[in-house]
Amino acid sequence: MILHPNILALFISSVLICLMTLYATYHGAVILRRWDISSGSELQLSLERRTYLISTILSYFLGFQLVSMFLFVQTADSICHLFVGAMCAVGTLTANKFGYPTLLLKMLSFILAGLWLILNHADNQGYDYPLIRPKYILLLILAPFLLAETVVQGIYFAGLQPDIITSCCGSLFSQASRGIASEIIALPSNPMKIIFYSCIAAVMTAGTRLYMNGRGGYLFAGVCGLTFVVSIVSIISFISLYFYEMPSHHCPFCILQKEYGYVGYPLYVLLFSGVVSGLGVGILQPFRRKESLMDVLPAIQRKLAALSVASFFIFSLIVTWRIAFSSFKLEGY
Amino acid sequence: MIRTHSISKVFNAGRPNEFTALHEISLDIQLGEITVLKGPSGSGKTTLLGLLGCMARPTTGRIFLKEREITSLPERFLTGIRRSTFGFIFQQFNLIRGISALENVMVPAYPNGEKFAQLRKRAMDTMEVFNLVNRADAKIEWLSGGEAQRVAIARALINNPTVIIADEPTAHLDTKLSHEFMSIMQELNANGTTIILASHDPIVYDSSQINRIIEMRDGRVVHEESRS
Repeated sequence: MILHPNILALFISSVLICLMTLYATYHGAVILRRWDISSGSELQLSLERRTYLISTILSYFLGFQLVSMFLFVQTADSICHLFVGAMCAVGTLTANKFGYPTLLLKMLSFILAGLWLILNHADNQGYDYPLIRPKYILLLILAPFLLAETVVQGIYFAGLQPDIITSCCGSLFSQASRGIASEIIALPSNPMKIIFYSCIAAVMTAGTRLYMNGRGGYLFAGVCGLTFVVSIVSIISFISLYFYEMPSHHCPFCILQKEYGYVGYPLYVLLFSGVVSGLGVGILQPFRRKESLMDVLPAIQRKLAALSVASFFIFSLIVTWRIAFSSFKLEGY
Repeated sequence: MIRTHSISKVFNAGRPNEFTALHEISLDIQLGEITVLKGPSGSGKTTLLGLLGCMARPTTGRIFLKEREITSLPERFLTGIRRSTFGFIFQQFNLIRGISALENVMVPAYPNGEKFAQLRKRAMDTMEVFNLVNRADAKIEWLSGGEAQRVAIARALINNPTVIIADEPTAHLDTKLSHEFMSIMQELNANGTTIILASHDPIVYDSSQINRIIEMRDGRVVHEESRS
């Protein structure tokens, strides 16, 4: 294990978040079994007091969980020089077989934690704990991912040794490589551009419709989820090429480096903020008719839709700016 | 109506010094009346007032304010109800020393975000009702007992509450001021304000203005008497 400050911070925070989530999940299980708002029993009143406290504390922990995904990627990028053959975060992540699973779990738990924070915020707006059951059901879904992430990340960090010979991104994200990366790289750029911009246009259209008349929550969420996936694929397929100005370099991590102005961070922050707020609109949609939320939920959904549209729009602006003004031209491919 | 349904309050639950201050109290308190909680020290009057005024939560049971259940409300909603529905007068008045009488009266209304000039005018109008205008800029420590009492009442009224809750309000007042306090309460009640008092002072519970007396002992209601 490499005793890098970031690794220690990630490891300790992950353990703390996991423990807090497991405690909250236990509390949530009691709530799911015993919650009865019409009862004045000692247990019910005690659950009401504790859920408010636990939700508040958990929201801070999950807030850090959101940050930790970016810290993890930044750490992987910043310690790549310790491994022979590594040029960016890819080398660090392939130093052992737990690197990518950790990143995937971080991405999944980022989205789920973001959705939980949205549900919790909406629940706090109602006077009668209107979303308490959905909130704790989502926590029951999130908890195994956080537990798995803590374990897998721990094994990953424990297995990092400075003398490991690893691969650079050039070999992993090339057409010669095998797996999903090479499939994405092989996608023709012009159809991918059409799909990418169509998705951005769909987000804007569905978002504007939702913002104006409050309709199409599920559609908007679906479009946001699809646009997120398409955008990640697009980064590997053609967007990265414009930043690197190299026709064969498809790495989605090198854009996080200083040489490229750390542009990867705003791009990924925008993508994740867009997908979480977009999916958040969908997750709130079934509860619009709850009496205590009828007045506040549409406003929350509109704000989330605006945030999601703005995120994807700014993302596409940065990408378009680079495509338009880069000296690199990718034509007829 | 304020309705309590089997409320109990246990302090230090599960510890060796566990103490049950209230035992399954069920009450209906009509709005628009003057109700007195009567009983010796330790009978649970102050605890019950605290629960009725949303300053604490019961250990078991529910409280309904105008048919709305309030014990389950998250704190942010409870704060709003406490601020808009209840005005509190404490035994020691609990005025803030070092600031003026006027500022003391205005303090409970600060979180409402009302324009300062408008709030100041309202506070001065309220103080005028109690002949306190000429003492508005006086610091609390310069006020006489009677003036402090009237400032405390003005402060309780600044948010136009529908219910005034007063805990042993005459405990530190002489007979004249106690009678004066009761006549102010009667006046407020005549204007539609509900008054709930906790007291073991005969000047309070023997007053002819009282509509209802609830006698308490050892955390239980032992006797109820309606006078209207």
